[in-house]
Amino acid sequence: MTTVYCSGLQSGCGPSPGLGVARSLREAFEDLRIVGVGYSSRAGGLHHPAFDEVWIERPWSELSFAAHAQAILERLDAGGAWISGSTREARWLASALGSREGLLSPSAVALERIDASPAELASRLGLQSPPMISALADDYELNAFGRQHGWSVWLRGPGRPPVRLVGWRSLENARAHLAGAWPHARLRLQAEVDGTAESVVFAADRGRTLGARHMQPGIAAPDGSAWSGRVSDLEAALPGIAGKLRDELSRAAWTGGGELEIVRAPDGGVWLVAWHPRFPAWVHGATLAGANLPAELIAAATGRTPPLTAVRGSEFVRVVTDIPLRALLPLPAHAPAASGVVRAGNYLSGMPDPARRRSGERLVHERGAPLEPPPPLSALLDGLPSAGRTPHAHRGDPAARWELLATGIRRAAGSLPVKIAYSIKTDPDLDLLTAARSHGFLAEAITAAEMGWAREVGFTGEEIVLNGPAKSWGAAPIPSRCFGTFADSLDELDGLAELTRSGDLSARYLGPRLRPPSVASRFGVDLGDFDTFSRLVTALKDLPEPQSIGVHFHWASSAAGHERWFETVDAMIEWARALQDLSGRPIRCLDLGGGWHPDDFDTVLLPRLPGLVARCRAQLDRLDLLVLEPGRALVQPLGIVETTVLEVRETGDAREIVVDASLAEVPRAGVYPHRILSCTARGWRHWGHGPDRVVGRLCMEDDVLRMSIAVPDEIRPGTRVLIADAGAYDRSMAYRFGRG
Amino acid sequence: MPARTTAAWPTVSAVAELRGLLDALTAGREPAELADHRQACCALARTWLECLDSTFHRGRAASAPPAWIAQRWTWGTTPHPLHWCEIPPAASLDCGASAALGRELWSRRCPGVRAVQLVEHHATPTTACNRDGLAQPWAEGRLAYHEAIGREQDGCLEIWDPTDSAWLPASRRGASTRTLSLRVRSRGLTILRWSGHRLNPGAWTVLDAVSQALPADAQAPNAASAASAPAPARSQKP
Repeated sequence: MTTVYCSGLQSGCGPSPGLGVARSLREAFEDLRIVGVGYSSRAGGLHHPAFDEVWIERPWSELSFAAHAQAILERLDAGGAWISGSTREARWLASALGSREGLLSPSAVALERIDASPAELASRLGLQSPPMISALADDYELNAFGRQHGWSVWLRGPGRPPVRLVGWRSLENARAHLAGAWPHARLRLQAEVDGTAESVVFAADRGRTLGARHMQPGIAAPDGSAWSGRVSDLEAALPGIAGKLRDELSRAAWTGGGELEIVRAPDGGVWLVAWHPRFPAWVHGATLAGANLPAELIAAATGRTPPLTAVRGSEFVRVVTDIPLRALLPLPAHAPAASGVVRAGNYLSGMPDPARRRSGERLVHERGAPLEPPPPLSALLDGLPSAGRTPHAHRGDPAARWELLATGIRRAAGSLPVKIAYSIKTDPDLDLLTAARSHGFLAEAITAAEMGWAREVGFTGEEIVLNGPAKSWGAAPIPSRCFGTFADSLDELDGLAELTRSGDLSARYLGPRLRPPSVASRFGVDLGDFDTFSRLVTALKDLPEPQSIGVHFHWASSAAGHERWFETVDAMIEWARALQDLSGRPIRCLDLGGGWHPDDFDTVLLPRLPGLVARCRAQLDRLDLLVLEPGRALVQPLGIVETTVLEVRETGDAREIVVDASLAEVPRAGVYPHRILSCTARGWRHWGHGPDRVVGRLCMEDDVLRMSIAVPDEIRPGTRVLIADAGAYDRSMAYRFGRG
Repeated sequence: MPARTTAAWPTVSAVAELRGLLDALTAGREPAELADHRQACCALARTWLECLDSTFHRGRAASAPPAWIAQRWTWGTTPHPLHWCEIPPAASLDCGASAALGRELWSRRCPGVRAVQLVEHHATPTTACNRDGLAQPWAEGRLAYHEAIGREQDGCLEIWDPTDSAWLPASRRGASTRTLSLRVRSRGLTILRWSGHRLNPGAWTVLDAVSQALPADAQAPNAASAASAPAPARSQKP
């Protein structure tokens, strides 16, 4: 009698496949002895009658891997077979046991083949691969990747649950969670792809494909996993892939079950998101549809006759049932986790959270070497005077950067007149405002105070753009003259129109801030609402006749992602064209903001600006001005905070330094990575990637200025270091805290 | 005496009965079309809908279907003829309205977009009337008249169901809903291929599902009971 060991028995929401494997085996071979393997008595699947016996091991965090490996070996040597229901366990088995008779899991060589290059793997299968970047890349590159994809990004790696990232801080937190437990070498950031998730199950024996099926999910569980699905022939669902998968399994000499996680895009493109070395949780759904792959696997491994499987339907659904607990196997009493951290998902004790421990492997974080700063930053550092006291906020001379940008913008706009607006909120420093005026920029104000500062340095009303929500600024009335003003709502537009009619407001351009229906924002007139759209057409039609109409659009490109930003601007231009056609009033001015990171402004927006301008002119044939608001792209690189190291703490492999700067001087420290530099014999160098962190002086938990950085060995208390990229909102949002 | 099947497969007379029901469901039916008042009301609505489609379609291939329609309007009975200006305030659209709207918008950016009419068989039990309590002339027992959109390319047809926001699978054997018969409106005379079938443009094609694939428990009601037969459930939207 053959004994089969099935692990992966978490059977709640987002289940593991162990129970489905056992049920499929039981249907095919009544005489099998099936043993459920759990690493916690909390794994509900242990109690299912499909199992003749259960084997509960110590939790993964307490397990002796050597002893466990020996115990498994003894069972395999006794003629047993092991089907792992956990990605991580399958990987551990490959490294700990190698290829063994009865071990129905892929070998380390096979795993290496699928892990080495996800993009090449996708290509070999004839599938597309989502954009990705190694998590070992420089933080500046990682942040750029996140911005490019609007932080619709996953942190993925072989054998660990993916983590959805929503911004820079979430990446830092995820890395910190993994620190010391899992190497970053195979971790990658993967852009999310738009489409519907599908799944492919397969099984192979020493490279011979035993079967494969496709599943299109129907109902989704709260965690997004399939709660129902339709199982179909792989070739019918994904023409051409079956042969390629067969070849891949053959070349990898694959043994065991597996799953391809794929996404089908609306345009028909199919993306490979992940390849898992274990059956999917819906494996019994395939059995119900006539493809009992676990049984095929056991048959191939044991020489039994492959079973004939009845087709009971091509669709399946999960149901929740109550079953009695096994005698002598009570559930443990509920107790809150000591850490207060609750983990969820597939790794809730069916297998432990594997990211916290890996067998016997000690990790050594590589320390990235300090890097030479790029030329613009170098130039800024060259002229930087040393501060007497720290922390001290330096501000570089804007002239060179602004000249370069202004020239680039005007060249890109071609024959369409363009004006650059300086957003005062990014840094209301009067010297910068003065410089902005001398460069011929407009001033963009969102409050009465900002307008006052602009007037203070000589901006006239005709050089000021009034923006932001609700311009009824209390005691300070709207100025009688301005370059342009853009209403954040229909009610405000009505009010501004009334002021215009009464002669109390003279704006060269007047109009709405537009919010296309694909943008989630609190700002702007909602074009996705038909009544609002209809009222907007009427409002524009009713504006006093000589009034020139402009429209404003602003959406942070770092939140949108670059492609989506351009797509949305194109859509907005089409909406503007519709407003022009329906109201009979030409759109004369387009005011474009974008919250662009300085690097993206220079390398993404400027090169694509000519095309954007061409599309503007094609749609808006009466357009006579483009107003561009570079926002923080103008000033972020100009700010540098000089700080002194107060303390150096050595903790194991990692180092932590406390500096006298803090979130009070660098309030955006958690929003994007600021380069940190120290002076070496070869000049200023910014620190590379590593296990260390830089924390501020404040008694605040979130006063962490950088994580995952390599603090150079020569750093001592008293060393001066610089925090770059600290202009813009780091300056305008800086506050006095802990400084009296 | 109406024919009944007792075996696993429909008898010849049951198939004939099914074909009769198909004929009854499709007789005189033309694909829904959107009407236009030729006034500002419809111009405003049409422009708004076109802009919506353009916005939600950005970044996708021109040939991608208007998947957003089903996200905006749930299924529900719709009075016809439906004017453009009646769509924005509508709480729901039926399959004809969704298909007509989708066809108009899709064809602006993609050639080869065609009207498709279908008769589908639903396996699940049915209810007597829809949620509005209205008669359902589009349903007979487990059979339902449905409208979708086809995209013709190189003699092949793909069918998009704008009500379910999904491509009609090429093969739905064993699925809870099956296509029994369909007609594609094409300007050309070229025979189109879909799911292994050859479709004559403008003519109803009865698929082999009628004679080969209907299990006994999925047969249509007999003629005598058709009038009082339960109609498709909400999920079986036309």
